[in-house]
Amino acid sequence: MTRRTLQLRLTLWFALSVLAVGLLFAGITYFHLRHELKVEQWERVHPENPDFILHGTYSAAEIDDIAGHILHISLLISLPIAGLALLLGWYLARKSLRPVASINDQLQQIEVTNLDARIRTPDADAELETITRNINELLERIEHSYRDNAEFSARVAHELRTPLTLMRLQLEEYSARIEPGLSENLQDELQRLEGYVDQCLLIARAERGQMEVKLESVDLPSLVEDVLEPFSLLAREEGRELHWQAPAPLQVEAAPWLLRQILHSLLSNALKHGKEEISVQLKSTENGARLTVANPIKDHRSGGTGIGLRIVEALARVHPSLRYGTSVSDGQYCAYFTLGTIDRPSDG
Amino acid sequence: MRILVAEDEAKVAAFIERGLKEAGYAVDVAADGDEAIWLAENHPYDAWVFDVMMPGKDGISVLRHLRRQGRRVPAILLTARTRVEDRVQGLDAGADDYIPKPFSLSELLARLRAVLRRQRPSLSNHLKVGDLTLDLVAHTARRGAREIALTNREFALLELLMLASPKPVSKTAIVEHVWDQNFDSGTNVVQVYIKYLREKVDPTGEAPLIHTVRGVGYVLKGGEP
Repeated sequence: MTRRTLQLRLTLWFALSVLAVGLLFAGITYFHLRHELKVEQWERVHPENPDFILHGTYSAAEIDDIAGHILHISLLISLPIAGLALLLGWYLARKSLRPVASINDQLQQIEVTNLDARIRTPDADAELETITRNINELLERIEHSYRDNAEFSARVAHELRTPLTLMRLQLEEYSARIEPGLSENLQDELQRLEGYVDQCLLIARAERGQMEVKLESVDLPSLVEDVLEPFSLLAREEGRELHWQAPAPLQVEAAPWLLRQILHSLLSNALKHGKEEISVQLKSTENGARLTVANPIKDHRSGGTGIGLRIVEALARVHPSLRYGTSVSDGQYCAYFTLGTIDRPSDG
Repeated sequence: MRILVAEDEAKVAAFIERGLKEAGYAVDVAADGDEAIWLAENHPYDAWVFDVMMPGKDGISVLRHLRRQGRRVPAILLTARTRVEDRVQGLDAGADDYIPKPFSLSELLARLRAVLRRQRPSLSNHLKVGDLTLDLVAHTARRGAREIALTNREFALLELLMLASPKPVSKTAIVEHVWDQNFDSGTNVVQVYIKYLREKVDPTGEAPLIHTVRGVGYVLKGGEP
């Protein structure tokens, strides 16, 4: 059920109020006139004998005619007045609610990357000013809480690097002296731990808006091919195929490192959680380029931390003009992102 | 060659010192920035290895201080901070290379050799192990008279193995050196690349140069591992 808007409600209230006042005024006039015409007598000089004064009263038919005429005119006038009242009410309601719409727009613009933004309503009334102040105080508390959390994650991740260095140096030093299988397992787990630390730092930086994004002209097919190379080999080792389709050189304005990281995470996800063939398709679109990574989903998803996809979401938010999305249909998982081009070559 | 290492974590410093000594370098260790400056000002070194986060003067301030005095010794910074801005700040201060923690000793040794080579034009731009030669400028590889076509990543992998030779290099160090992104430890990306590299470097009939050291990693050398 759709709710009526406050603007519509205020407009109707205003128009009905104006109409009610008009009708009340017309009603009072009508009844007062009828009463006056019934009790009052008229007097006038005889047109041929100036010494005579004629006295008379209105008949019931004359009273009905005069009062009815007044009522008719009042009703006729009230229709355009009602229309005008609606228009004026709509305008006034809109003007009064403009600061509310502005607050709404400004709140919609606030994301994790610009939590330091605040609501501004310079021409708001006193009541809205209080609401604005309260919203800003709430945003301040959210920002501090979020930053504290992210700072803490980043600090912990940084602090972990020194003991990790020591563990790695010790493991490499003694690896030749311990059982090879155990040494390999320890190295793998250490690498996994280091990977988690790196990924947590990456997310913390992206979500705190601390990532420097330098856009440059990038040949997207070359960049994708370069990232695909190891995944293509890894897929082949697993007996799977990686299909790659791309147009001729396609220049986009992008931050190459971010694109590589996003693509790396999507392909890692496809390799780990997907089955059968992985399809990577790059298309030139009207506004730029669209890259799709699609694969059938495994029957039983191998458990993951979800860090990889969270990285993709965080980096996609940081990268200007990049839109990221996913879809699942008929057991097929599809992740895609779109980018704007800077210099469109001929379509390939 | 004498190397100055400034690292406040005593255990990490001890491992670096031992590793560099085993590789044939003479090593002095400073526990903080002020001691590093004193040692660098009073002793000749072939290279400096400074940790960025140290009590007192941090590694970047130490390096900036020494560069202002006109000292051109090649320097490598070790740091837990990996942001691009941190890296830029370090390189702007005069660092020749920047190694993020955690790192492998083989990676540090390889980078050290690389900065020493850059510093001394007299040193060759060719790496040679057995009959395998790598031209770092032309980006070409040869085994004997046979030219080997390598992809960029295969070249980076071979370069790391040759720089570290005869020491083995761990899988983790290889992943960090060859790729910008971290591969999940469950993937066998290193084994796959080593396999393709072996097919090119060690074809049937030629003495193998790339060896697997179980539990350690991979090593490139002429004789048996």
